[in-house]
Amino acid sequence: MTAGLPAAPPRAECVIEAREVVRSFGPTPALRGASVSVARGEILAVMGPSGSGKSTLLHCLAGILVPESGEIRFAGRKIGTLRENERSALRRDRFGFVFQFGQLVPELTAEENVALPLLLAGARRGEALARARDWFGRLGLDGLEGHRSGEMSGGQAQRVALARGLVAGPEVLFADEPTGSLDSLAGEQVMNLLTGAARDQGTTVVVVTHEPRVAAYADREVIVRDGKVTSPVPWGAVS
Amino acid sequence: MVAGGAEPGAGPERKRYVITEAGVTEVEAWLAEPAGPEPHLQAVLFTKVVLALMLGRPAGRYLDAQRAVHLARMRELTEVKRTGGLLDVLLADYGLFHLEGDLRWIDMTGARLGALAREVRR
Repeated sequence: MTAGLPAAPPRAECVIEAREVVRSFGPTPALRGASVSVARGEILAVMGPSGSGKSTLLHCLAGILVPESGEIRFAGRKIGTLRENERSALRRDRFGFVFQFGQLVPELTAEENVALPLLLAGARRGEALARARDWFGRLGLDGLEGHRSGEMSGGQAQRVALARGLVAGPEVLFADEPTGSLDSLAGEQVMNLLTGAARDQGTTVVVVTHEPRVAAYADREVIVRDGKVTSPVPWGAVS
Repeated sequence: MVAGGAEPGAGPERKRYVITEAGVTEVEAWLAEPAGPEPHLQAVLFTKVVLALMLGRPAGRYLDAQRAVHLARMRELTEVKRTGGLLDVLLADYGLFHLEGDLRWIDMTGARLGALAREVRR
């Protein structure tokens, strides 16, 4: 492992890694040499103040943004050099996503929203909907299959978004402030379900949050500050 | 509270106690009286930060270390919530929200370290 990278748990296989990633938006630098590695099956919380670059780091790890320098590796393979259609296939087939606002397609029913990743991957409609429906009982959504996003509470819509993120069995789930728009109780439900389902499936999770209570569900946290990643400092190591 | 009769059990006899009317009144008064909001002034952490700045020590690193310890405790309490009953959840929530309050103070202080350093070194 590269010296200076916040360490993943020992003996665990590294599944996704950022090395010295630099990324700007126009003249504004967002990441200034960010490095982090995530072990397979690990739940990692990425914390930091607003504007620190934590969401940009998530977008780079997920292949949504391409770094200007440095590299992102997924399962040992550089993804920054992939063509857009290859990165798109990677995101569709191997990654799942949950954002702050569920971003459900309002014209589709809840079960059609959940089935979307399967349909985009080429599954038949009947099979995709059947697999989607399996998630409704699991996430306490029974009876909401035919509802549209406007007919659900924020917590219900976010659980539907979570089902959509997990339905295709992704290797890595990226969650950006997944409870940011929810009250404490609904947020707790979402995090319990997210971490429970991820551990059941062995899915690696990278969750960006500014909320300590959300980070407390993770195995480990890193802090992004001024575009760089820092690991927690153990007592006694400060001098 | 006054002693009542004895009650036989599997082991030695147990003495039964009965709450008096005065006791009932006292408990009701205690329940009805709001507890004073404790200020939790973070005296130890506050002192460490100020002293670290005065001595030119890495106050930000002390805050980071404290954040890690707080988050580790929050992780333990979250596990208690996951595996415990509703009363455990209630108690763990109490601890979690207080730790979260501390962490907000740590974050705010971390964001103000530059200005604080100028203030204490004047």
